Amino acid sequence: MDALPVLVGPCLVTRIELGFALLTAAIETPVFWLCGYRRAFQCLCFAGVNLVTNLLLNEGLASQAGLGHYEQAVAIGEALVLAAEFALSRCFTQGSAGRLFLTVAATNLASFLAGIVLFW
Amino acid sequence: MLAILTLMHFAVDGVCAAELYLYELAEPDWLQVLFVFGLYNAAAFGFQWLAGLALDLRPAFRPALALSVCLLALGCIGAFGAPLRAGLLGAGNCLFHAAGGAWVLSRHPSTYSEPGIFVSSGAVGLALGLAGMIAPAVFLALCAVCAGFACWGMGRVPAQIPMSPAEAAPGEPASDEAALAKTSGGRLVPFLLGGCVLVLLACVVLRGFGGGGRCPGLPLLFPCVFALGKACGGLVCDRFGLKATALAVFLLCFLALQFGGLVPALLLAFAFNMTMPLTLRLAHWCFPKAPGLIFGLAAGCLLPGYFFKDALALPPQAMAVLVFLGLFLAGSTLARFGRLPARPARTSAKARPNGACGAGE
Repeated sequence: MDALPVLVGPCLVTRIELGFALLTAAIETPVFWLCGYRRAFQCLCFAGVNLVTNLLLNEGLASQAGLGHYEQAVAIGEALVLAAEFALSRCFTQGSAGRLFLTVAATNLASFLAGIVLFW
Repeated sequence: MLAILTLMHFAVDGVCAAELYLYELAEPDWLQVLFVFGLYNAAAFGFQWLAGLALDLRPAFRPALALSVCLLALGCIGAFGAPLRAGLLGAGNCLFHAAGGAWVLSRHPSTYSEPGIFVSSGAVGLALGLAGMIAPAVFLALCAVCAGFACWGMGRVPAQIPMSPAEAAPGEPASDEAALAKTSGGRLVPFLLGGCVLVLLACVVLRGFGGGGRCPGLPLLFPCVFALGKACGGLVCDRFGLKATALAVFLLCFLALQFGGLVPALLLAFAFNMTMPLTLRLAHWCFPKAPGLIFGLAAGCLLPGYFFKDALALPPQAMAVLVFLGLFLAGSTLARFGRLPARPARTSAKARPNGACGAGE
């Protein structure tokens, strides 16, 4: 009989990925608050959504790193993140879907611009 | 009836897998083995939509079940050539799935549990057959007994086919679809629902690529998790609603992808398989008069995952996001047209607002 694989392996999240996710949440959550979603619960959930989507994006991109077409992968990944953040945010917000979509787009634009400034 | 059809699903997949296993043992040419396996899969999954469509037009479930057992029995006759036997087994399997799936979807029109329970047992039968643990004759005998009981049971149920959840649950809030159909925009409704079905089928394709897995030394471990995931997906969705279930699936996938090892892999397979009854039921609600066609199309969408398993370089993270987005999009669209039940079907009669947000309830 073959040996059993490890039941639960080490955490696959690197410190850099976690750092980027926390930084993104720190930038996007205040923008979300500024756009009118003022309840603490909503902001907390949005920060959680940010952590989840950012970790997934960076892990996904890391797994694609050796395959080429990195820029296209980033563009597709960011589009998926935008859609996923909108869909997830619908679970804890009420009101206009259009307003929420614009808010999520604004938060992502803010973190994108902050990224350009930070890593210039 | 659901229990009999579920047991028969186990036996039908088991007999096909056991026959293929015996053939694989005896055949030294791997290319020929691949050809026969491919032929079987193409016959079993590729034509289910056609069999389903035929059953939608003429719901002769009992003859279809009887014919499927006959085809399976013919496929077990060793005197026939391997390609013919694979074709016969595939055709029997295809006919059973189309008949059983269409019957379950149409007889239980407003819940997720029953489709989940019906599809859950196949993976276990398949694994037992492919591992050579049970002889084909045992599976075939079980098939014949189950088919007999199923035909008897189907004869006792009235012949009408319930349609959409709104029709199945009179007194629910009026559908927006009827009002929309009277306007010029109403012409768009079939296209929107068709788009929903395509999105849901894309989720099934992704599951075909991402919902697998195996553990060396424990051939039944992953199939049991697949079965558990499919059954639990429907039960959880009936209890907590579509939105909560889709969210739970997404978060389980996220959690599983953060760790290596066997348990996270099992958790990922469990979460991916939880979406099976959701996609089936939502696609059925898009076209409630065509349960056989929908079930067959969903089955056919598993084929790319079989034939091109290694060709898709999509990371599992993207698959998890895409499946969640697909469920969200389809759920939102169906909620907008009033095609989702106003409340989880198995809760009490306490009223809850319809489609309050996102993917609806």
